[in-house]
Amino acid sequence: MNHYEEQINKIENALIQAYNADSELLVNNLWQTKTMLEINFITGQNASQVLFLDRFLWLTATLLIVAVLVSFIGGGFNADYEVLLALLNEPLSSLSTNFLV
Amino acid sequence: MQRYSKLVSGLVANKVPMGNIEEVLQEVFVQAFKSLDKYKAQAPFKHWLSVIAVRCCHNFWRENYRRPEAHFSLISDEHERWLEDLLAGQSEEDFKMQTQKSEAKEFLNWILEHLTPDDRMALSLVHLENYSVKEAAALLNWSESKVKVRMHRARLEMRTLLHNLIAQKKVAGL
Repeated sequence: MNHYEEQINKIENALIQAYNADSELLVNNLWQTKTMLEINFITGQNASQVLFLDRFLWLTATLLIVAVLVSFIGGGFNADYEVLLALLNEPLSSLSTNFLV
Repeated sequence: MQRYSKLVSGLVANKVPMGNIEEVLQEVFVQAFKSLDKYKAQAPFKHWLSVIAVRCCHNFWRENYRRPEAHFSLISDEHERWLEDLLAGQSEEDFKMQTQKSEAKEFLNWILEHLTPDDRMALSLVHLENYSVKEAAALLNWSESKVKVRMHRARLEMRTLLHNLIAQKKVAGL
């Protein structure tokens, strides 16, 4: 066996040992992300799809809340508030008639 | 899923890059879930799941494979130093210390990047993980002779890379 062969064998053996050295640690760390994997398992989606869906839902929910707040702060809120005040000022007996009209 | 988590993680962890492990793991369980009706109970469930895991890793490399140029200049200084220290080390303890360094795994990944997906899978299973040729053939759904041929080619390629690297270092006077 020449010198090159010896060196190649040495590197090869080192690489084989390195390949298996950290697999135990990797496996233990991986299961910290179990929740996401379970969700994906049920829905049958891959991780990126779930991430996209998750972000999409959060964005939609945020936009809806903002839209509701804006409509309340704007004219819609004042109009509804006036109707409510008018109804509250009416005597109870006339409420049913007002609703019918 | 919890029962087989360690088995599947162990199979996937070393075969795909760190950043893609979770995605491939996910794919394994989704594929298994979708194919549950095809499981005939002729082999243990563990084995059936292992086959899916190995094939998902193989598919990952088929989708992401780009043959890099074998430029040795692309090896970083840290990896060169690691090689020098490894070859210079005399004792068993020195050798063990070098194998535990992160450079060792990175250097191995650099070599594996130069192999085709088929060669890579055969080399990983048989040479690095000590599966028998028969077991590797069953996991990959290949014939035993195909595993042998791929394994032989992959190992030859790896040794050629190492040979050229050492020769180049000798020429450079390192």
